[in-house]
Amino acid sequence: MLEALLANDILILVLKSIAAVLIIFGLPLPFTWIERKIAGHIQLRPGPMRVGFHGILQPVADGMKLFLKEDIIPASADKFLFKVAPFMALVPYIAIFVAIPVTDTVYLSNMNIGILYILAVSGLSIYGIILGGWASNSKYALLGGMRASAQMISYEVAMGFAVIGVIMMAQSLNMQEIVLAQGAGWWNWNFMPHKQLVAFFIFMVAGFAEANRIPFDLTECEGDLGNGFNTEYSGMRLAIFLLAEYVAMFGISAMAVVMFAGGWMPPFGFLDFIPGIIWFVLKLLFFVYLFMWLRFTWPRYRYDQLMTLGWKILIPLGVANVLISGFILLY
Amino acid sequence: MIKELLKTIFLVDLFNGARLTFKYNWFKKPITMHYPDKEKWVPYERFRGLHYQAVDENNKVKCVACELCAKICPANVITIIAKEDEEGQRRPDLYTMDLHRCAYCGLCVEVCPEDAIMHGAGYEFAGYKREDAVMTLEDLLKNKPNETDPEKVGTVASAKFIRGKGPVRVEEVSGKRYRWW
Repeated sequence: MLEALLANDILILVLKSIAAVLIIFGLPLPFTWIERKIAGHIQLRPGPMRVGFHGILQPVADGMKLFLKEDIIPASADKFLFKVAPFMALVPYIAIFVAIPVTDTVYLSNMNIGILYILAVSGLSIYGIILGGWASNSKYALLGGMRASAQMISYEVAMGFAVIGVIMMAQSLNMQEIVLAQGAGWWNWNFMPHKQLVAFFIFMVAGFAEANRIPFDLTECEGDLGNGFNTEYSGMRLAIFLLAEYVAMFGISAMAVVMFAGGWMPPFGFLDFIPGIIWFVLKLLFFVYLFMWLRFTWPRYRYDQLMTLGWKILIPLGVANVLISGFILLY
Repeated sequence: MIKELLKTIFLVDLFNGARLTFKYNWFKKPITMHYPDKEKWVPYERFRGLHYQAVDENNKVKCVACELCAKICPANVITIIAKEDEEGQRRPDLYTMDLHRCAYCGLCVEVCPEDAIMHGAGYEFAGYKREDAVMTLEDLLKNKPNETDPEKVGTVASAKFIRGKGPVRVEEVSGKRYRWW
């Protein structure tokens, strides 16, 4: 019976999925601490220091605070959508990881259209933010949601053009083959100038916008919107929105690693005795650090600047990149 | 002109900023004070902090319960009930300061004919209960006067955070001491 179950691919897949979800749910806890430490050190202060050794238990304390708080639902809110919205923001970014190949053996699904699946599913998470803003029945939350939708539409296009460049280099939509096409050695990876530097730049800018991180976190702009789409949220539902932001950050980082930084490939050919999973995690950490580092360096864009950057600079740049890469590949 | 344009196109300013914060993140130490866990600021001589009751050379309370401080106080912080002690002197039986209302204006200190109520060095006002901020005569006698040693004032001293149920206390301990600037 047990052997028959183990032989069954479905069971293994279910176990793998559970493990992946547990890892993705567990990651934001240490990373909120790391982010606050980075914020502190960049601003020449120590960061959290009081709960546990160097404040390492701070996220546990914060999490307990959020979980024990009252879950306030505004009287005039659309109750069902209000309750569902945080999960709608969180689930699509967890679903991204189905198609991310950690190594050539560690993955959940090796689908032929992996990159299209990722782009399609990650776009869905915007519904959580829009509906969260809409269902709150508050003007600031609604404005945050509207900004999120406009931002997502403009930057999804730019991201699509950046991804087309990568697809052209690999001649495939399969994530594994995109990594294999890059091969070992950092000079072969897609972020190099002779490969797809412009696409990498566009992808990172659009990725920051998709993950709603500074400098593009216009949806939760404290200065002019209270707190944007999550103004009315409190307690556990707010925690899930914050979790969704972190998972989105990991998702975008993982996409960047696979498409532009060679996935599990070592930076030098002779380093291939180190398992691929370590290279993948190191590269992922680098991109996550990039997200956190730039968050505490740059100011937030103004809303019209954001739209100008998206429509007037990134999209023409993306089209030009696709045309020129195609021309070079053809001849 | 062209140089400015190139600077805008290649985002030079953004990368300069990122380089600076990277340097701060990895190669610079925090410049903040580790208050309350490890360090504490020693205020200057004229600092108007938590009040204390001065005592004379026989370790007796100087206050004669004239109630001038209670009368001049714009916020009715001070409550005094006088008594006659064993030497026949007028002394405070009850002297409480409700520091919730105190603005540290210093009128009570200026008006005191005996220099009995004085501003001290304390600045830990936090507590877990409202009663923690109501100072009785015993509390006022325990509060410390300002440091007068010119070597010590205006420095950051090593300190220890004392855990307990009462008001928050951070006490100076011997150890490293340095100038803030």
